[in-house]
Amino acid sequence: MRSKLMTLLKIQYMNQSSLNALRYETDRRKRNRTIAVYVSMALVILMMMAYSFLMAYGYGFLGMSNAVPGFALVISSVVTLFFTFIKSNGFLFAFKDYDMLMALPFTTGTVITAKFLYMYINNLLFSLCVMVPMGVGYAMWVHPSAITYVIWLVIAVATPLLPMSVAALAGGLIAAVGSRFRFKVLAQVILSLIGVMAIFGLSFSLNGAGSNGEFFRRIGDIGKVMETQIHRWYPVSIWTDAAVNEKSILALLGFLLVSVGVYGVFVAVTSIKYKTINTALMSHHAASNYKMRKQESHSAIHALVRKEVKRFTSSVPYLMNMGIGAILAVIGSVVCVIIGPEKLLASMEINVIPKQITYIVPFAVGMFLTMTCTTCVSLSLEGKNLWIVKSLPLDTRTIFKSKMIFNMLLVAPAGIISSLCFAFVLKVDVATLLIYILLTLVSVGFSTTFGMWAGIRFAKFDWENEIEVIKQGAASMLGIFVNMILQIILAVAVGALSLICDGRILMVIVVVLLGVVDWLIYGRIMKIQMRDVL
Amino acid sequence: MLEIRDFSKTYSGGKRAAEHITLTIEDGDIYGFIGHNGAGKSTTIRAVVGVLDFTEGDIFIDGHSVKKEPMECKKVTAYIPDNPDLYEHLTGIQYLNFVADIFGISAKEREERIRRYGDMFEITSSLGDLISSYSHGMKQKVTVISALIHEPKLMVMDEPFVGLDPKAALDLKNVMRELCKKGSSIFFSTHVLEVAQKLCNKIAIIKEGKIVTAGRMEDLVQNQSLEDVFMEVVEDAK
Repeated sequence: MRSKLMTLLKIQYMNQSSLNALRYETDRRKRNRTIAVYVSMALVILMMMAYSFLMAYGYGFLGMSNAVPGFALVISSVVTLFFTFIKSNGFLFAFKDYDMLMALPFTTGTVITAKFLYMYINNLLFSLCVMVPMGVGYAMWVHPSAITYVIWLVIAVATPLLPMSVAALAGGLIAAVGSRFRFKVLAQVILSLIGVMAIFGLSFSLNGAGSNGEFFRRIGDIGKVMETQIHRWYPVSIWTDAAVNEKSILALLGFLLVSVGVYGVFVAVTSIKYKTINTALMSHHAASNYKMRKQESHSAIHALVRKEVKRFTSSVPYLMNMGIGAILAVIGSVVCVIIGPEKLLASMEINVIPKQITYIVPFAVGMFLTMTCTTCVSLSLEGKNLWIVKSLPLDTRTIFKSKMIFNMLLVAPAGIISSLCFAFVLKVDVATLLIYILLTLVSVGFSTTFGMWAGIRFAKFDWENEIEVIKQGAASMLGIFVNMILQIILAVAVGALSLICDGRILMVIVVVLLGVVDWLIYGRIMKIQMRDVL
Repeated sequence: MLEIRDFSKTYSGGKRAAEHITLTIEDGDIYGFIGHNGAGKSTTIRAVVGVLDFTEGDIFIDGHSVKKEPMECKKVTAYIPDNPDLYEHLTGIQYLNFVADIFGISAKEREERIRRYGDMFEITSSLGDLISSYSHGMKQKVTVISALIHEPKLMVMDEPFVGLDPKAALDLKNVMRELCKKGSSIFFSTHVLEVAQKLCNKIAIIKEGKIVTAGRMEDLVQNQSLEDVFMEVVEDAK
């Protein structure tokens, strides 16, 4: 069992980590791309570690060190929960190499464990990137004994187990329920969205604990309030807090027992129904009752965009990962309208809307919207089908245009809805509303064109599982990361500068500048030929 | 119709897959391309249809250079790859309409052709199902129909009979003959030498990226079987 498990795990890493490409690839361009992926991943990890350290150090500075262990656990767990939940379908269930693996002499438990371990190791890296720097920040204020360091490390190693098991179990249940419907993708997406909303609701409740007015007034009790909230929402944090702050070995054992126990239950339960779930998910409804009817003709670009729509709506991981930004932007803005501006502001203990907020909101919306960047991945998703577009009489520019049009059609309406909602909530005039809409469109234009450029530059066609492109691909990470950073920078710049000059003029300047950048990138893309891609 | 002129291909790793290949396929030819696995058949075919980029030599389709005027070449060419990797999230009819839209085929014409070939290959009733639910053979049939939908002047096929049931294989052979009678040309690779002998009027044998013999079938085979000729030529080329 153990050697088979290790073999399977090793093969998964060799197949998915690009390390083999780094070792054996003779094409220098492909090697450089792989190196660029690792460099960008390293940069993101460094930034995350710096952020985690500063956060823990800041809490220590405010005299809230006791809350740091629980807080570190929660951050690590919520993110693990979110990513495992999204990833479980297509990796743990209904994965492409299912037939090949299940036909080999592996037990179902070995296959699940290998898949789960692969996810665990990846999540562990994230957990360590959060827990270790936060531990350092904590230690700089508390100066704990050696045993605390060991306890902290043990907790960091065990942290991903519980949220992963819960998320994978939820993902499995959704997959199982969804597989009973004819429109499996739709059913799974709706159920998954409910799950994601629940996770967001949970993290929002925790944030809420730290942001209301009373909380700030009682600054002396800040750590206590936070600890209580964290303990309420994530009870195992009681044990981790006790283990670190009071060096309680019993509490540590309790945490480990629950984490490992829940994982064991997950593997045992999933093993029983694993084949049934996968068979249902991977079998397809075939009515075989088609009768030839009148056909319609369309333009080539129409056909290509239609193909993109079908691709997007037929894959749960694609839809969930790339569509989530636009969905959240719309849901968030509609919720703001439903709750009403008065209640919303009252909950934040704000009586009068600061003018700066009206200038920052479009960028906050933009941050969510630009998370939906299908152009980062749509070219790579052609994968083994690339021969089709390459052998058809299609201009390279038409192929790229169709992918950009699809992204604009997907995100621009969501942007306009969000702009309208926030214009209503913030009671802005028509001119500001128009600027909101223009700003949204140029932001989406930037994410579309930059995403397309990244998608071409870091195209990867030799994938086995689309997750490799959608979640782990360099283009996907780069596209979303750059868009997010850009929106944050613009929000800070416009927010700060609006203190000394008219914010609306600043927004118009951003519209013009981003519009020019969009056009320049678009022009650059239109010069690329398909032979430059491969 | 198709002229391959001194075509060579070296992959970025340094592997030389094709060396100085020169072939001419005329209107109405059914040209068989025969060779071992890894001999360079697919590399040549992929270069002809514009899927594979190349720098050495040139390929002309209907007088247009694949390098300089790829669109003109692709408009008159149909390609059937060795593995029918189609868009699995589309239904068969959606895929066929997609290809027809790209070639600008009118609604009436595509309807007629899909009906004709769909019935011939006995797949019409499954055209409303997702391609992901198709067997290998069904996907191959859809690929064949998509290749025929624009009545190509040149049809390039890489192992087209793999995965087809006996009736579909026979139907495809008949379609190939019919197309050639109308003046189109067919260039295809195969391992099945009996099929090549019965179907082709010309063949080329490739070994380690080099053409070892090419010409009219009757001149090359004479009283022997193609299998004997193939083994003889390949042994002599050692």
